[in-house]
Amino acid sequence: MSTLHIVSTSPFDSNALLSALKTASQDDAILLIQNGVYAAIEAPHMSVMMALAPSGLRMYALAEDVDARALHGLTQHITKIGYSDFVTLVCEHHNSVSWN
Amino acid sequence: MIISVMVTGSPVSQQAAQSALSFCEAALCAGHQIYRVFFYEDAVYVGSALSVSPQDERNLNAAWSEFVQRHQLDAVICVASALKRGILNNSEATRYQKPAANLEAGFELSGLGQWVDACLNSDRVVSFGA
Amino acid sequence: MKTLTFLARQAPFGSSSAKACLDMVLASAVFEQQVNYVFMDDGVWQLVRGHAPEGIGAKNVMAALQALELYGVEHIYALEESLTERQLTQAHLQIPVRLCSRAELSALVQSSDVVTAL
Repeated sequence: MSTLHIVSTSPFDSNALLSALKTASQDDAILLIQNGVYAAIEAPHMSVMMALAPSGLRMYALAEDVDARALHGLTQHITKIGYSDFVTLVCEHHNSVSWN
Repeated sequence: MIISVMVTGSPVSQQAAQSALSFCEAALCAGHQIYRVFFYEDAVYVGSALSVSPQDERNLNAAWSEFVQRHQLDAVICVASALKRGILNNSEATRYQKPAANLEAGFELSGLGQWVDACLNSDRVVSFGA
Repeated sequence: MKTLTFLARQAPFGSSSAKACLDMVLASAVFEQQVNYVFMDDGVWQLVRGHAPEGIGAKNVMAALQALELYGVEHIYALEESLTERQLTQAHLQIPVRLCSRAELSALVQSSDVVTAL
């Protein structure tokens, strides 16, 4: 039993990611989409927030959204994936929460 | 797997409807079945047949309409959200004595029960908001 | 029967999210499913008693919270952390709710078939 947390708003603008990180369980995964991908940058502010995540939480960012926003040098514990992997993640987790 | 999708964000001012469409395309491509797509709140604007996009911009409404018709998907527009926002089919236009109906081909107006039904009959449910 | 969990995360006025979430909860209850209704983040403001939205041309949609029990929605939670952050206690709320910790919320999400956050 695990949950896919889909975060679609920027961490600089909303508390969606914070809520998702605090609610997530160890075997869950976080997928950043839309403006949520801004959380994937290498920045001290983000490291502090990510430290709230349970250990072992897997983190992904949607490639189409990352590329559209010219984000380079993503923090290394975040994996870039495409829509087909997004579908796979949905199937691998028994439910999902969309945090907007 | 049997998947249902809910969209709540506006196709005009937010990215939700675009993300949802790309997700649905990928899901079908991977061999999954889409039980229903449910449009709620501002996402009901996807069902307007009257939206006009500049020539160099993609018309998301047309893309959704084409997609649901090509794959014969069950695409439901929440009727309560739609009436408030001026998205009407013929029978609602007649019932409320409005000058025109504008529901895009491929979509149907129905209630929130359709969303609950989708939750009960799907293996996975994904929402696309703001 | 499926377990449908709703996370109400937005303030009651200023957007239609609170009403949208409430309508979904009521629709789910009509189908006699196991419904969990969780108020968290700014969503806990929805629970506050004494709303008087006439001056902003809004309906007091949250008055309907009183009717939840009639619809069979019995599992109503507020995230304790969100209440505390906003200096709210049970005494400020218009209906009795179960306070839940973050760990209890995580467990609730894990054990649900469908989770909808609005």
